[in-house]
Amino acid sequence: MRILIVEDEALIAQRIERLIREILGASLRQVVVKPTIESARTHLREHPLDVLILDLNLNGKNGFELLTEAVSGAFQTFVISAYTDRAVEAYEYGVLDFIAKPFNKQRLQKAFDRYDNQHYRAAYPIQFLAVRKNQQLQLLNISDIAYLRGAGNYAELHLTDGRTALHDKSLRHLIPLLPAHFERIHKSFIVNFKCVEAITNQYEIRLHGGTRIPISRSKYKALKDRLG
Amino acid sequence: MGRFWAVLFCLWSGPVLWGQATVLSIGDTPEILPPSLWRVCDASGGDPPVVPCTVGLEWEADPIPERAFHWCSIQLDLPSGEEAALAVFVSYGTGAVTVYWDGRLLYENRRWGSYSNYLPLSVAESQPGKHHLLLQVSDLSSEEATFPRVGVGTLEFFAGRVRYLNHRLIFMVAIFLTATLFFLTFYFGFSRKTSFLWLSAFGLTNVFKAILKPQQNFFSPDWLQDFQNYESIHLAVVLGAVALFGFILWEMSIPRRRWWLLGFAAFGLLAYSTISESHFLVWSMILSTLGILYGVRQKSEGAPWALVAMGGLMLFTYLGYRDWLGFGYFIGIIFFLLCMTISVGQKVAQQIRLRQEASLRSASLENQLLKKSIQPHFILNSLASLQELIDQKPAKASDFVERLAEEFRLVNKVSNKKLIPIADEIRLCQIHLQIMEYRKDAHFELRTEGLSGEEAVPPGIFHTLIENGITHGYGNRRRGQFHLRKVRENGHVRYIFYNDSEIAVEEGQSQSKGTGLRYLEARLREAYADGWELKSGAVAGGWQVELILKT
Repeated sequence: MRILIVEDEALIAQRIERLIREILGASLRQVVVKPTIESARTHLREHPLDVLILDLNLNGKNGFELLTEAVSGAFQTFVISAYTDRAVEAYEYGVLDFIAKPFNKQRLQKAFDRYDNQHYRAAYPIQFLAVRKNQQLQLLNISDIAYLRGAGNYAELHLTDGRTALHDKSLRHLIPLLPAHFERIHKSFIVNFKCVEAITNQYEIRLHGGTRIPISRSKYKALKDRLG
Repeated sequence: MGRFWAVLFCLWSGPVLWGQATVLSIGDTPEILPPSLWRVCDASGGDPPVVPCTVGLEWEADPIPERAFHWCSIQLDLPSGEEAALAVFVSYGTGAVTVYWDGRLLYENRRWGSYSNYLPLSVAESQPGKHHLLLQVSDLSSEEATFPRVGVGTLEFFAGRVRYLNHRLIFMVAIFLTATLFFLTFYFGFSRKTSFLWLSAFGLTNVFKAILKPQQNFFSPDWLQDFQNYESIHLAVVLGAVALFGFILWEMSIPRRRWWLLGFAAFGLLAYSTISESHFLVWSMILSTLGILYGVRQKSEGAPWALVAMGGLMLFTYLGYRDWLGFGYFIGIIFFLLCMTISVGQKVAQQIRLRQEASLRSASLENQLLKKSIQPHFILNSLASLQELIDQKPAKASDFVERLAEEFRLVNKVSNKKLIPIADEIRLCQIHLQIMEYRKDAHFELRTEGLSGEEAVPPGIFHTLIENGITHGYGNRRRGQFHLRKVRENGHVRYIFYNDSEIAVEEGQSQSKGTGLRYLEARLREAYADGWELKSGAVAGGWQVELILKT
């Protein structure tokens, strides 16, 4: 696992790094500490990553600057901060876990458990998904997404108004972030159940507007019971 | 009222009613007996009165040598009707008087007389029919002989009259005394504002003036003769005018007011022996009004009320002078004091409000420093660092906790003060740097230059600059230099605070934005009002903040 720690307090950064090493052991491939937003941004651009661990107040600057960019990435983000009043906001932007300072090994362990077991939902569902379009970051409201289609390491977001967008996270990484009414009905599809009109007999779900989405056979019965 | 004519003694509006009758008649108002009724006493007696004219009595005050004694013999015919005791009223402030009624000596004073004196007669002496009133007088003060006002009426009427005058006097004295104490209390209670003291003195001079007024029978001990009363009143008027002028000088913040006051006092003393009381009053009112008009022009806070008060005083005094209003001058003074009471009340209310605001501001600053130093973010990050120290370097953990405790203790000690010794402030900065050294695993150094340690500064100001410096300036670096230098220049004190932070140089951005700078400015305003200036900006190799205290 490749991890980037963005923390401006040396002692705390050292603590996070030490605990991660203890938790992940051999599965840790790389851990890097950056004390400023700028150096972290450079690192993110140049190195692939699995987990970003981010402090929200970095040298007097707002860590949310980086958060918006970070959550659009293919990796998952944990926030470690003293500003617990910003936890809900952080979740809304798509972090997988929010760890309050001070923290112990068990709490950090729990965050990595959540990462490993993607069927866990985040403690608080996201409100927005940040997507990159023409080199610009754009925040999409979750309620505007009708369904998501997997495309390798990416996900296509299909919006209710017909527009589409590409997200850097795979479906596997996205599902724990999304609210409960988003459900994976197929290896390649996550559907917003608020947009579902009916289930058909052809192993398909019909959305408002007529779009049909396939259901995997293993999920068909449960869905039929639920929607039928 | 049948035969019980009340003789109206119109001191209140007397002069209008005087002087027409030539013969004293019962049921009429008191009159000045015309000179034609008075005869000069000599040894041969002239037209002898019923009782012998006494010549050569030893008066307590020397009569004017060439002044003869005068006598006046009056026959009265009292009409029949109800029986009641009568009294003879004699008002003769300027000379000695002897009164006989039906040949009996009724009164003899051998000294300066009284303005208000009634002589009771028994019921037997008040029977209807013919009676004889004989008066002998000698003017002890005027060059020309003056004669008393004389009247006869019921004893009940005169007694009631005197009671009424006394009550009115008590009322006035009570008002003046209340005003005196009111302004004195506010002088001591609120910032010792000198103009309040002058108002109090003005009230007190009027207390004396009212008590000494010879028309009253309120306070007339034998030792205090009426002529002394006049002198005392004149003096009270001069002192009152000085106090009033002093009030205006201080209230309107007139420049060089001590000299003005000295000049006015000299004028008062000169006027005391050269011009009449009324002339002096006119001049003092004109000068006081000019002072108030200066205040109005300068938009002095108390000027509008002072102008209204002075206008009223002049108006009422004029009405009194023209006999259109009895006791006009005193009513004017009461009006003046009333206006000033309202004005002072407003001022005090405003002062209370300002004090409350200032105290709230201080409380808020105290809270800000406490909050800034023990804010959750600072504590929680420190605790997270502490966790790591406990796990990895337990010996240092203990030291770290001690540093934290010392910073909290110091902040708690200084936060409620307006100014603290700079030594305490430097200590606070050093402890904070030590804490941050642990947390950032860095080395910070604070050097000072030109400080004696005794200088007083608002709490937390350099501490705030250090906090800002560390927060914004040392993201990538593990070493930091802070330098505080004090310089005296053109009578000003300059504190120059420098740090070698990287971010200011790299990005040229301000280190002092946000709550830190707001806190700093609020503390400086509280301690020095407008006498400070704060400059900050990037300099070679770092960031510099300059605090200039204008002394």
